[in-house]
Amino acid sequence: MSPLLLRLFFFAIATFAIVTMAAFYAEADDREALKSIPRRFARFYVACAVLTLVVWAMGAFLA
Amino acid sequence: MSINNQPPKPLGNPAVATLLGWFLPGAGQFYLGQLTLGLIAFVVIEGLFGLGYLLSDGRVWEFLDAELRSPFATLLSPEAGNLGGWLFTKEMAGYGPGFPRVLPSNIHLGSMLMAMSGILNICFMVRAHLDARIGSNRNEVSISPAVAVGATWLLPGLGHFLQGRKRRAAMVAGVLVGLFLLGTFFAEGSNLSRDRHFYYWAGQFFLGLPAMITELFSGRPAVSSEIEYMDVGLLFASMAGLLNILAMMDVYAWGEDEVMGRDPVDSRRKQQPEKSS
Repeated sequence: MSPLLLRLFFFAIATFAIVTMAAFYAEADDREALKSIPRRFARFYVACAVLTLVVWAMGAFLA
Repeated sequence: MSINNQPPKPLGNPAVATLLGWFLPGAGQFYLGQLTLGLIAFVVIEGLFGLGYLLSDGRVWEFLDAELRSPFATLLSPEAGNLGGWLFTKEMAGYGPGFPRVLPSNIHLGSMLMAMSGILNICFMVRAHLDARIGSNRNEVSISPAVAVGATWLLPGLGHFLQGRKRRAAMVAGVLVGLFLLGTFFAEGSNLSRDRHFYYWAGQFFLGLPAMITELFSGRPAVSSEIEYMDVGLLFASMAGLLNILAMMDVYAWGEDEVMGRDPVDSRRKQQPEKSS
């Protein structure tokens, strides 16, 4: 597996744990919490990817 | 659960009770007139702290890397939950003489006991804050919110289980213990030593027994070569402990709603911002 894919995979594991616990904290009802996990996962993962690209671009163009 | 519709009768100022308990274990309970509970808190918490201090010779903070040492650097460790103990260590031992020395053989056990005193004191502070707000006029519940918080620290999911939320208990335990074990696998056990990773250890200590038992049984393996995924392992193991704080807050919120006679599901839903359709 390429290093980039491996890092994306590791980050997916971390993201899953973060959004699962966040969902359980935000929703007292188990069904609602479980239902919200995919949406939370996608939002968190994409937002972090955008942030990474912004930081990378700043590093590349401002350095 | 029996429903009590009487309004809460505060016993005192919650902030004062909490802060007193932070400075001196049990002082929050003394302030609220709960003398027996205050005495138990004082003896147990200071007993754990004192035993840990004796076993470690007060030298736990010598684990911290020299370049990270500052007057408040150790506030990011579990001992800070017992501020009196933290101040005592700061004044009496600090970071030691500044040169490497042979560490006492029981320093790791002492370190765990001192850290446990901080976590346990947080549970008593939680109890003091809730008692100050609602007093004795509370609904009967299967388990007190402060005990549920302590149980969740001890074993992720145990607080949920004791509250009757068995499915959530299994999921919380599975995610957090699984993440911790995965982290320990990637770090090849190097995450289990406080002298090697002072702050990551503090994070994973919030996972309670799984972290402590793994550390005790691993014997803190020696590292003789570069570990390829050590950073990933440290991050996962530490995250598992820190995310358990969210689980502790979840059981507390549920328990508080029960004690107050509110429906926990409805109550949480009302706190959410309106979802756009």
